Amino acid sequence: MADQPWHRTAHWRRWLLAGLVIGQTLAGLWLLQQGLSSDASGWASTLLMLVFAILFLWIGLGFWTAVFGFFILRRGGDPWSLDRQCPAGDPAELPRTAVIMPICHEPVQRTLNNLAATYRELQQGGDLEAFDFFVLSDSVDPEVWLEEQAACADLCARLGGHQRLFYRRRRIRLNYKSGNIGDFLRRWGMSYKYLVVLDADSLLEASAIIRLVRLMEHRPRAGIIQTAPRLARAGTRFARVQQFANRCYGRLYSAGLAAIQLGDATYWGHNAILRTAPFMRHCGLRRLRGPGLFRGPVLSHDYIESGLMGRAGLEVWLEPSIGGSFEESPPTLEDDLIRDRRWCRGNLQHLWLLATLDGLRPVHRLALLTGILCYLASPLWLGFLGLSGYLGLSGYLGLHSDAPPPTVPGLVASSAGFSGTNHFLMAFTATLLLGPRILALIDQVLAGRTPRFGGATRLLASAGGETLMALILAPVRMVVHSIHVVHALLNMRTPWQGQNRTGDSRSGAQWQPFIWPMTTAGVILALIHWQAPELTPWALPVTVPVLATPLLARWLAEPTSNRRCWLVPEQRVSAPVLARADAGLALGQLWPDLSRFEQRVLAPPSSDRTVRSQQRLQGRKQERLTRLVERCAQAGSGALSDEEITLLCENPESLRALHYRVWQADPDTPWGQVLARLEKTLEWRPGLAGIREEELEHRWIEAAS
Amino acid sequence: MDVTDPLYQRALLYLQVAGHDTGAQTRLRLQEHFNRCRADGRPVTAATLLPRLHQWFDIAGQCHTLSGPRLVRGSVGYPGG
Repeated sequence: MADQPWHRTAHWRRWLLAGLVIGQTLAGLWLLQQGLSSDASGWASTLLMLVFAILFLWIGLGFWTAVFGFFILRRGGDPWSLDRQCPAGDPAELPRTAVIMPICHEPVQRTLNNLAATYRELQQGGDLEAFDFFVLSDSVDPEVWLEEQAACADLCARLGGHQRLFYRRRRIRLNYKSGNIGDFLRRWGMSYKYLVVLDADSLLEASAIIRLVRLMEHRPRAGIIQTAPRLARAGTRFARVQQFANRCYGRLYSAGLAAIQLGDATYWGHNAILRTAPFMRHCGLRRLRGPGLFRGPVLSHDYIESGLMGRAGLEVWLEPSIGGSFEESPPTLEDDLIRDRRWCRGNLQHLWLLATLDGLRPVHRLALLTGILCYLASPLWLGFLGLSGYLGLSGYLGLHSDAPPPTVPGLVASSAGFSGTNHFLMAFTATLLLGPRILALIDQVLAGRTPRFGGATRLLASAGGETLMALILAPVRMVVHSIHVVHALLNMRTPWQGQNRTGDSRSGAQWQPFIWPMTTAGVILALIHWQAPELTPWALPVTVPVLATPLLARWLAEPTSNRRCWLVPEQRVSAPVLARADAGLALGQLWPDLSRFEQRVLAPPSSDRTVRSQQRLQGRKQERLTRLVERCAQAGSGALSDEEITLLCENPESLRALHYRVWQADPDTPWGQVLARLEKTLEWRPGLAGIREEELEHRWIEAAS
Repeated sequence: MDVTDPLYQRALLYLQVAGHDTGAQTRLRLQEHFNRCRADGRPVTAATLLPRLHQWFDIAGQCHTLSGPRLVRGSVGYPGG
């Protein structure tokens, strides 16, 4: 890639960051060395120093990124950002752009209402002409995908989105989300200059989408432009805390990250725009061919795709100044940790790509490394605690018989006394950990944004509560992430399912993530108490939160409408796109007392020949379908497996045959009983579909006002 | 005719499910059709009900699927060719 004007700025910013992080790490190492007892030598102390260096480097990177963000924001934004360089209000015609939403077992109504909100925003602004919308489903459960289909058809009818809103479900699901997008690109990618990628919980305002397209037009070298989505629509305590942290501190981190990365930023997988042609040309992801974890489809595709874009000579920009980009937090701690399990596995796979993929830009390599370290940091912290505990206890355990019994833990105990350097190191560490939060608060005050968080006092109280929560959850995350890392490295399979985004209760199996962490914490506490009872009180802050995780998780999972704590700007003045999504349509709702399959069978099929199967099946497949129709007609929908229901529903002619059969059913047969239920439903629900359009508008106006 | 006849009731249910009007006029029309069939010696049975309903009434049915746009085949490139 030829040198660009921003390269020079990027170089000096990155060197400055490297200097600060390395300098701070060396200072920390020196302090640790001074604090360690002279007796503490050998493999354990060397290993301790090494682990400390990595961890200090890691937390320093976060701290200095936030400092960069602070100064950039105080200067009124980054003059190098695309958003600042591209003039607003370009009247040129918008090029063809596809807005795609890959989904897999997502809450259908919520997801499609999100898409509908974005669609309506574009429609209202008169910019819809350039955009097509695609829902790309990988759902397998027929109850889910039949609802998706029905809801999409309903949405299309309500929005007048014929030939603008499309639904596609892959029958052969290869390579997860990246495979789903790849499938779309192979079929329709050539028709669109740009691709806006949404997640199931994404919401993008029309102004944000149009701004992204304009920036792409303005900067032909840009392959990907990523927005920094804000968390919104939190309903549970856990999500509220995450949302507050994201809104209060997030802008500092994203501004800092964007300033350091400039045109070498990373793609986060959604709420971003891609230049279709180079993305198709360069960003295909092959299945990995390494051993164990490093074999099979790439699970975390986004970082790799931005790396490949950079490798092809295109730029990737993070533009946090573009507003109107939203996503949602997992509603509960369990869901957050389940998502982390997937991400952990995906990020660790990047080790293989780092080793085998040549030509990646150094900044993208570093991004992959930080992604890996996000999860490796947890076992490293655990190792650090273990090592410092070992060093502290070693004297007490008789290795140095004249050493006094420790009364304070770890490396502090191993020093001759609780010296000034120890104090200084602890203060230094606390500054690195808490500094970004303090800087973010100062930034909010200086920017005059405290009223948006309910005033300065409330902002301070919310930040205090959030910090306390983060401190309590830190050991839980440390232990759970460590277990995730071990699971991933041992290549133990994890299910790849849709995320719980609504906070609805899950089955008891969701408590599983806590069993191992609690056992580990219990064993550690027992060992400490057995070997050095004086240290037990020091171990409690780490072990008690882990032991109390189920109670904590339950409390955090509770819905809250508290408008005093963890308030964010969107709760005071809701963005129109959020209000639209919240107003929500009941899509594709026919008869709630019947399963989706029963609804599909009973509903009269379309007489439009174009939507009927063109394929005349023959041979064994036709025989199988005939048998399925017969079995289902006689024994009811329960007689078919999910796979068989899917097969039937994918063949309109068979479904039509079944439709005619079930309407002949006698009252005492399974389908006769379904018809009786249907009759009952219709008596109680005279309106067949959900709320009407006028009602929706009314609700929206209410929400907006 | 006997309006409690199960077949007549099922026909009404089908029309309602299809989103067709089931008011007095439709009911009258349906009864006429049933009576005429009986008079012609071809009474409505469970097997013939649906085809006849589709003949007698304009039942549009429901479209559950959205067809995609015209395919424009393209290929995806991988690192290393």
